[in-house]
Parts: sequence; C-alpha cells; structure tokens
Amino acid sequence: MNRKLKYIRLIILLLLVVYSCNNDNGEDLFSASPAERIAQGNAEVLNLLISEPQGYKADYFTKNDEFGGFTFYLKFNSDGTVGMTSDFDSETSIQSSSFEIRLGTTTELVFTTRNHIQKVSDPLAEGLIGTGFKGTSVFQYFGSEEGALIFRDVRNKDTGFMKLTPSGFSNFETQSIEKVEASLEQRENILPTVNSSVFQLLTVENANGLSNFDFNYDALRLFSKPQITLSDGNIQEYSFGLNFNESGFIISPAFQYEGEIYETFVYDDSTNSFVSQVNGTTATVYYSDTPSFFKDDVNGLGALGRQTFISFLEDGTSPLTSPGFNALLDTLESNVNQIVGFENWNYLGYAYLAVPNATGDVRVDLFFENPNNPDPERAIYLFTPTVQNNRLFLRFTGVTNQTGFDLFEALVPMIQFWASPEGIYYVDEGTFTSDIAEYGNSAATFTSLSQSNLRTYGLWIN
Amino acid sequence: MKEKYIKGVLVFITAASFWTCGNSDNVGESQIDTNPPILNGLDVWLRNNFVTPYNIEILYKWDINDTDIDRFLHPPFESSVRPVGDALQKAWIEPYTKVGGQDFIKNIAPRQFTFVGSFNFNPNSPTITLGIAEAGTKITLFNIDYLDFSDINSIKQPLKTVQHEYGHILNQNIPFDVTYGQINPQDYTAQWFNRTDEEARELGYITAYGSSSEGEDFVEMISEMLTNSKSEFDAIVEGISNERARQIIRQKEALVVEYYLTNFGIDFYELQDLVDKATKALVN
Repeated sequence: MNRKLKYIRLIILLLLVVYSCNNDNGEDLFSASPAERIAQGNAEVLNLLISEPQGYKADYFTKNDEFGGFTFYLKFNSDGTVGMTSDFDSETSIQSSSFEIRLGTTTELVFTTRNHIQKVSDPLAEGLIGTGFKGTSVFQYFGSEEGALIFRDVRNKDTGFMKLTPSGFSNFETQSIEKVEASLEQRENILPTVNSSVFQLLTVENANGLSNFDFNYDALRLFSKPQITLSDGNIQEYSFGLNFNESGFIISPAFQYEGEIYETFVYDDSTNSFVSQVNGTTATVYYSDTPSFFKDDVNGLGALGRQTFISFLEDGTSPLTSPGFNALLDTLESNVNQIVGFENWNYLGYAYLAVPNATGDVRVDLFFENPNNPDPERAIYLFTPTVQNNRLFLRFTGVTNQTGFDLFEALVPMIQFWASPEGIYYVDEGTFTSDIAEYGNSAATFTSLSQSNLRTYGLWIN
Repeated sequence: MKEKYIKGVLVFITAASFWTCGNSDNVGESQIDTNPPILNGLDVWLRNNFVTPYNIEILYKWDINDTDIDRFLHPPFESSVRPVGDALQKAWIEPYTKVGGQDFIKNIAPRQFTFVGSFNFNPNSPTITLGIAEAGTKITLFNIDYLDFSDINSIKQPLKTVQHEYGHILNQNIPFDVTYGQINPQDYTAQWFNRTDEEARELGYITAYGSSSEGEDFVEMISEMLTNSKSEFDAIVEGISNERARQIIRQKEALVVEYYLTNFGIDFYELQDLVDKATKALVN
C-alpha cells in the first residue's frame, strides 16, 4: 500500500514537472521591459528639466491647509547640479546643489543636497520649531498640465505640490533674483504699516452686491482664514495659503465664492490693495477704516473678568498691537522726556478701569518709571463711557492727579485715542499670548475707529 | 528487481523532464542601467577614503527612506560633508587602525553612515536626536550643517555618537564581561532623561544615558573616555563628591580597559591619547 502511494506521488510530481514546461506564449502588454520603461520615464523627466536653458519658475505650496507657498527659480543642468534662488527670505543669491531623478513610488525629483528649497523643511524656522513649513526634498512627478510640470510631495500628497513653468527669461542669473526680490516686496505690501488701518478685509463685489470678510492673515504662515458674518449671525470661515510673486500673489486652494473661483491677485499700488477680477466680479484685499462686522463683545465691559485691563511693555509684544499704536507709545515717551524734570521717565504701560466710579466715569492710568522713585508714577484720566451700535464711546471728563496735569499736553495723543469721536471697537481675543509670555488671562483689543491704524492689545486682570 | 527497474525508469524520466524545460535562448545583456552615477569631487573623495579602503559608504545625498519619513529633515550642504568625513577618519578610523592594526576597522565597522543636515527634533518632546545606530551596520548623524569646527565641543558631538555606537558594534562581536552589569544595577532606569549627568555621576554612572541600562552604561564609558583626554576624564571622576560613586566608575573604567586589552589587544589609554590629539588637531 505504502509502495503504491510512493509511485502515485512520483507520478504526480512527474505530471507537475511536465506541466511546468508549458509555454504561455502570452502577448506582451508593453514593447519595452520594465527596466527600460523605468529608465525611459526617468529620462523623460530629466530631459524636460534640463531642456530649459533658462530654467523654471516653481510655485511650491508645502501644505496648503496650513501654510502659504514660496516661489523658486530653478535651473537644472546635465551634470546633476541645479542652481536656484527663492523668495523664502532675503538671502536670494543663486546657490548650486545636486538633484536626481529616481524611481520611488513613481518617478521622483529629489533635491539631494541642501539649497534654497530645503528652507521649507528647516525645523529651526523661527516660530515653527520642529517642523518648519513641513516641506520636502522629494517630489513625485504627476505629469504636465498646460505646459507646466506638476509634482507632489510624497508626504503631503493632497496638500503639497510644486508647479514648474518655464521661466521665459533671457538671463536666468539676473532676472530670477529681480523676480524674487520683487516678490519679497509684495509680501511686505500686504502687511500693516504705521499708517494703515488694522482692519484688513477681503471684499467680493458681484451682482449680489458687496460681501465683506475679515481677512485674518497670518504673516508667519502666509495663511489666511477669511471670515464672513452671515445675515443669520453665523460666521462662515474659508482658508487658503498665499504665495507671493512679483505682481501680487496666488492662493491655494482657490477661493470659491458665489460661483466664481479667485486664484490670482494683483497688487494695485494706488489703492494699496490686491485685486482679483473674474467674469466681471472682483475680489479685493485691502485695509478698511471699519471691520467687516461689529462684534458685540463691548457689552461685557465692566462685568466680572472685564474690570481692569492692562497693557504693559514688560509682557512682550504681539502683532495685535498695531505698528501705529507702538509709534504712538514712542511719541508719548518722547513728549514726556521733553518736559523739564521728566527727561528720564520711561513709559511702562497703562491700565483701563472699566467699572464706572460714583460719578459714572471709567479711568485710564498711564504708568511711568521715574529713576528717582522706586514706585511707578501714574497719570490718571477720566472718561464717561457709552456703548452704541457695538462701539464704545469715551468722553474725556478730566484729570485727577498732579502727574496727570503735569503730563497732560504730552499725553494728548493717548487721550485722543481713547476719546475717539467715531468710537472704539472692542474685541475679546482669547487668552493672552505675546512673544515672551502666555497667560491664562483673557486678552482683548481696543481699536480707534477715528484713527484705525491704532489698536492696542492687553489682558484683563480681574 | 522489477521494483528497482521501475524506480530507475521513474528517476530517469524525472531528471530528463527537468532538462526539457531548458530554453535554448541565451540570457542577453542586462536591461538594468549599471552605468556609474554622476560623481562629483566629494563623491570621489568619499569613495577613495571610505569605500575602497574600509567598505564604508557615506550617504549624504537625500533619500527619504534613509531617515524617519515623519520627521522634518533636510540633506546637508555639500560643503558640510567633508569636514565630518575628515573628523571620522582622523579621530576614529586612524587611532583604531594604529592600535588595533590595519584591518581592525575593515573587519569591524558600521558599513554605512548617513549624514543629515538638519536637527532631528523629537515630536512632543523638548529633545533632539543627535544620532541613530541601526543593528551595528548603519549610523545616522544629524545636524552636521550646524557643527562648528572652531569649537572642540561641537566637533566632539558627532564623534561621541560614533564612539558610542562603535562601542555597541564591538560588543556585538565580543560581549563584555557580565560582571559589569552587576556593579550597580539598582539605579538603571528607563526614565534616565529625568536625571542630569551630574546626578547620574553621583550614582556611579558616567552620564544620565549611561544609567539607562548596562549596555548603554558600558558604551557611554567608552565614548566619554574617547571624547576626553585621560586628564579631562580623571577631572570628571574626581569632581564627583560621592566616594562610592567614584570607586564604581573607576571599577567600570578598569573593566573597559581590560575588555579592549583581552579581546582586541588594544591599550585603551594609548587609543584615548591618539583620539584626543586627533580631535584637538581638527579644531580650526
């Protein structure tokens, strides 16, 4: 029995061996072998890159749900080197490094040694320690669209992409640097200045009329989260990253609103605004004298937790204090130092006491360091408050102490700020954060509606 | 007889059937591109100084798979690579070759180094990783773009990583004496990072990391002794206030010295002196 089984096994083995000789003679799906096709794919991309003697412009968004993008100019050479510049920062000189085309998951462009493009993956980036802009050195080739080569990030494959378009230059070395420096200027143009309003809006004008969004631009991340307050009081938020170029900026993802798609904004020097025109509609980013919508936070002033507001230099700086307000503080100190006997006084900060006294007045106390007195000096001014249409109106009613009298003329700009004829716009701003401190205290801003370049940020201490 | 005959026929047929599968077409030329890659001056230098003599490859051109794909890292400047290569050659390979013989590093060495330009920040932690060693075959050195070759402490940073990892590789070839781990096992802890080096020394460990386990303790002793001169190392030990801790570290030092002498015929103090002189000569 056993022996029979052995024979059967041997015969089965024999049959298997015979069948294994079967020749499928299958039809080849590709004319070339896999190795040849890989080499061909790589060569195709390489040839595209080195075939542009004046290089490419690269629009690179590292992660468009978190950051804006940067513009690079790249000139690929057949010896495996690439020269590049970028508008990442003010170091714009063209640097050389290596690149390779490799097969990874698909054909990949790899910037193999450090150059401008690695600035987006530098974990030492100020304010973004550990991650930088979450960029990469490895890009997957996704083909070409309308003459542009499309690459995607291996990691952020849905949000990170680089688009290469031929530079069209006649002199890569000089023109690329001119372009990135112009781009850096545009990045400055969007920022508030000493004189510009703090209310940066995105306004869409179409057949339905005007729609105003608070632009909410984060200059560190080059990222905006525009918010519009709908007629029912709800807030709708959009978000996109900005990538500046010599004429303005492009955004990603594109901003879609009421049937139109806005992607390219051009700077208009005469109005200090960025404009995108699509099918007779216009989207504009500009500085307005008023916010898009008046929140009603002002009604909480004087209640528990909104009684004493302070803003002191020692607590650090915040972008929510406008450049204009910082300039005002410099003016105050300078004015005070011009008075005989007050030459060495230093401005420390102020307090806004929001609970009215027996006569119904609120107080603004300005604090100074007097080198001859260990305790801070203070100048105290009174105002009568009223709230109308979510605006705070303070009518100046008087001075209550000698220092207040002595410094009155010098401190007029500050008194005018609080006594703004158009009122003050008050907004709760979450918890206090500055460049040197983070406190659990509620923070807030006061903005003059008569001088909309003046906004002050601070915290409530009770 | 009949059975034998049948078996013989079956074996013959089976053997013959294998031959019938042979295809008369010859294997042609390889379709894989075997041309050498474009080599720049740095690549040639690395081949001549590491690959050819020691079969050690130094990777500095970016490959996302060489490091943790979830970290935000970048390749080094080309100009950062050679100074670190020089440091490895002068302060690691040459001293070991001198005391251990021409083939010492050729026989026992990590086969691959990866150089990374950026710092490697650990997520959700205030710490950075300076180097990683994998299975005794590969060492990754981070932040080489930020080394300052005018500052000896900056130069010592990658060298300490290499001396530490090389200690592990030596241990993988010849384990150290088990009595080493019995000297003061009571204070080994996985939470070593909550200790300062000074606190660890008062407990009889040369560094905080050395107090994590006996294996790390042994190679931390090696790397501390090879990134300090004998007098500098003695000063560290003499600076420990706890007498018992001083004795323990001296006992560990003796075991390290004995390990090198017994297993590799190397006078550790001679090696320490050579490494120290070479490291000091690297300072610009």
